[in-house]
Amino acid sequence: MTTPCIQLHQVSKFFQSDPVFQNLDLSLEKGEIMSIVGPSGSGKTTLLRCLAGLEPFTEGRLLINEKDLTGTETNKRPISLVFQQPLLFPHMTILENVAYGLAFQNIKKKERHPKARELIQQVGLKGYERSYPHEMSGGQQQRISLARSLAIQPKLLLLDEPFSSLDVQLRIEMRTWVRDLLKEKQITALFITHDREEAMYMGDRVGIFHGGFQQIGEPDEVYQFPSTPFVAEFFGDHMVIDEHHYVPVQSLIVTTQDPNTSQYCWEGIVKNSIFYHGNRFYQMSLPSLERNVTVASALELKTGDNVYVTAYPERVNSFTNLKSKE
Amino acid sequence: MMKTLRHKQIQFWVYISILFLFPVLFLLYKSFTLPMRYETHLHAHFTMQGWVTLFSENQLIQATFVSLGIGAIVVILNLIVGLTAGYALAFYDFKGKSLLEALILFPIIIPLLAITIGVHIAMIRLGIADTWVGVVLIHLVPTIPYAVKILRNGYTSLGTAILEQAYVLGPDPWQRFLSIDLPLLKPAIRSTIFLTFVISLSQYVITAIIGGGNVVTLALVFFPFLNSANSTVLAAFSIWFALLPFLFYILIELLFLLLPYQKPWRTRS
Amino acid sequence: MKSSGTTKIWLLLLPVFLFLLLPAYGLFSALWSSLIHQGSLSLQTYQELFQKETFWSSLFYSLRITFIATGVSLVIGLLLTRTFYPVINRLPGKLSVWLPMLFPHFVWGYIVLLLFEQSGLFSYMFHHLGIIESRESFPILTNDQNGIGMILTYIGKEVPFVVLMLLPVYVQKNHQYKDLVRTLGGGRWAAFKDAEWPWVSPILLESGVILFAFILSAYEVPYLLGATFPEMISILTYDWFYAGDWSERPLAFAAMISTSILIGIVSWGLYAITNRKRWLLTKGKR
Repeated sequence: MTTPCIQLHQVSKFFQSDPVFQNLDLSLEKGEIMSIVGPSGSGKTTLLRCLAGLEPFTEGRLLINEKDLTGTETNKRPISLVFQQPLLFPHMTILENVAYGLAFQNIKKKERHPKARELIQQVGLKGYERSYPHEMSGGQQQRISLARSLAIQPKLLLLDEPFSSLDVQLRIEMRTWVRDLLKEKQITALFITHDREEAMYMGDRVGIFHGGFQQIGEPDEVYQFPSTPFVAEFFGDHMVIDEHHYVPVQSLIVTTQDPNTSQYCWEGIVKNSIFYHGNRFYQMSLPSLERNVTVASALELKTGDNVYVTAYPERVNSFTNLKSKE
Repeated sequence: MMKTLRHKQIQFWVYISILFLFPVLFLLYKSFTLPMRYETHLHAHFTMQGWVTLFSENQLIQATFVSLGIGAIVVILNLIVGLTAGYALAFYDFKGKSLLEALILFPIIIPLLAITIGVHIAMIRLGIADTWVGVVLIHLVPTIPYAVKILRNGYTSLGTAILEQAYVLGPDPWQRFLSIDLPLLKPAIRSTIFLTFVISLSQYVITAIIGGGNVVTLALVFFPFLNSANSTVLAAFSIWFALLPFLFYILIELLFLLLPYQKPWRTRS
Repeated sequence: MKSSGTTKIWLLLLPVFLFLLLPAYGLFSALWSSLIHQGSLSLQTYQELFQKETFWSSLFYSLRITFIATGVSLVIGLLLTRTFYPVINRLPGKLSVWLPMLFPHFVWGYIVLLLFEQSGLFSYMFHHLGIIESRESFPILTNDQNGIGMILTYIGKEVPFVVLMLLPVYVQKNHQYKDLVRTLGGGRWAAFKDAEWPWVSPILLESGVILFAFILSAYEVPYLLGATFPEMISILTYDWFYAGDWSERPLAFAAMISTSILIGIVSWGLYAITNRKRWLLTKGKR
């Protein structure tokens, strides 16, 4: 087996004495895209900034192709970062923006512009070479920003919620398009988002981040088999029953009569109803679990109705990290 | 709304004309006409005499070069101090930051005359009194506080994000400064250069004390002229004081063109 | 905001620290020189200074001129900016405000001479309009005992300074605050007091302190437009500094140190007043 392209060994970051994350391990294969998803303030942006070298890791090592880059300056790292905002240089044309990084890479002046042109074509903006950033739309600017970061042929591309400043429609278009481009160019990338759908779509693997990785795995696996209650609630559509058990929401059954099953049945109160993809969903609170849950049901229920929510015992699962310990 | 704006514009130009434009235009007019005789009738005699006399004075030509030279060095030193301190103050938090900010303002609050007579003896001992070095140094005192202030604000409104974005793409700090900081800070740098040069040009008493009459700048030529020359020559001389920053400015703009990513023919809207 | 890279910060701040040595040394050296009397430390020079009638009359005269010139410049500057900032912020407006900044103070002083002296433009025009009979009947407005010429010069030069200081505040200010106050039923005064003054006052104060300090101790304009008596404090200092046998030099140092202390007290006082006012305002809101 080949050694992974990107390796993080036991990295930690502290601000003063407060840990942002501690003792992380992570490795990426060449050409792999990994999504990191977590709520805001979970420290995922700090991780990215540390990887880019904009902040130092407090402890631990970063290796790329087995070369230690922990102490390397930002500008010397073969890592490129696409920020939330496009941050194009306003005084340069699109062509100059994309070619910017090439100037610092021993690439002959003559070869820089053809290279940049090629990338501009690849991001679908041929013909805009001589335009200025302010003449472009938000989505176009973000594509240019991506092309600029790709131009330096980074060993690792970091994307920090690059679509968050775009509207919903455009986000969905962009994610498909960006993933295809990265795959085509075999770019190793870390993609940060707080949107789990985006994370699942973009990543070959996803990492759920909350002061450290809660779970890393393929999207389906993480979605279906969360390893901690946090992952179950944040990432999957699961209802956490207790510290050890959860049940997928879609397997919950709502009845108005007491079904008289002893184990996994809770009384609930209907709070409101919504339609989603043509189905009726009810949001209800389960006082005994101190939780709210949104369940699909064909029943006609009114706000304030008392109901029973039941789970088949065979659908109740244990968190994966507990299984492995057992 | 449009009407009130139009109205305001007219009002503004009336006030500005009275306060600023009229005096300057009158000065310009004076430089091209013979002095008025109180008793004679109202009519202007056009003359180039003022300007011809002015530029036939060797002393003036020399003083112009001395002023330009001293001004240029003062400007460069101001930019060095202003850009470094401005960057640190805009982007870093450190102990004693607010104290330092107050200290930087203090040279324009303490009387310049007090500082000048205070350093005079020391400059004599160091051998830089009566030389352009001493004059340059004393001209830094009333200028640097403004330079730091303007450039700090420039960096603050630029923000860290775009600088970090540039840094990730591979330039070393000096390359980044030339390709990103300098072009984007151009408005702030321009104001600094202009203001610094004008302040340096305006210093009479501190130049006289430290320069000891050996360093003859334009201000040092102007004062004796007040007693000897007629109002036409003096008016021309006065205009010359305002033209010089313009000449300097054009020079700087030409230098700016040597920087990367400058396209004067394509302006950004 | 970053908080790392201590060495880098000090390296960046090194030039400004080196620079600060110069005015700091100047001030301490002046202080030292004023405290040395016949080779030993004493307040003798200050005793001598404070007994001098010329010093006191010069100081009060300087203060009066300074307060008037500073106050009028601030008021005109503020009114111009808050009324016209959309116009000033465009290129022609900016250029017209920068125009007087181009001229040294003494050149602006010379313009005031050309306009206001007894043989100046206004006198000439009034004469030809038949309003006055001779130049002697035109009031003495330059090199006069009331310092009107100086005040006019400073107003012409400092109003643009105040405008340029205040302009960014008005351009960047969120004007919805004002609308908010108005929709809440506040009048024009309330809108000014609550939605404008808190933003403007710190800059106005800073400009005021700079102008006060500058005008009080500047030399060029009084030299050109001042009266022979009373003299501005800077002229008096310069005369003492260069008086024949250097015997009056300590007086020059003491006069400048006294002026510095006075500026310090006034700046601190102004600062304290505005801060207290702001404090009262915030208390009143609760």
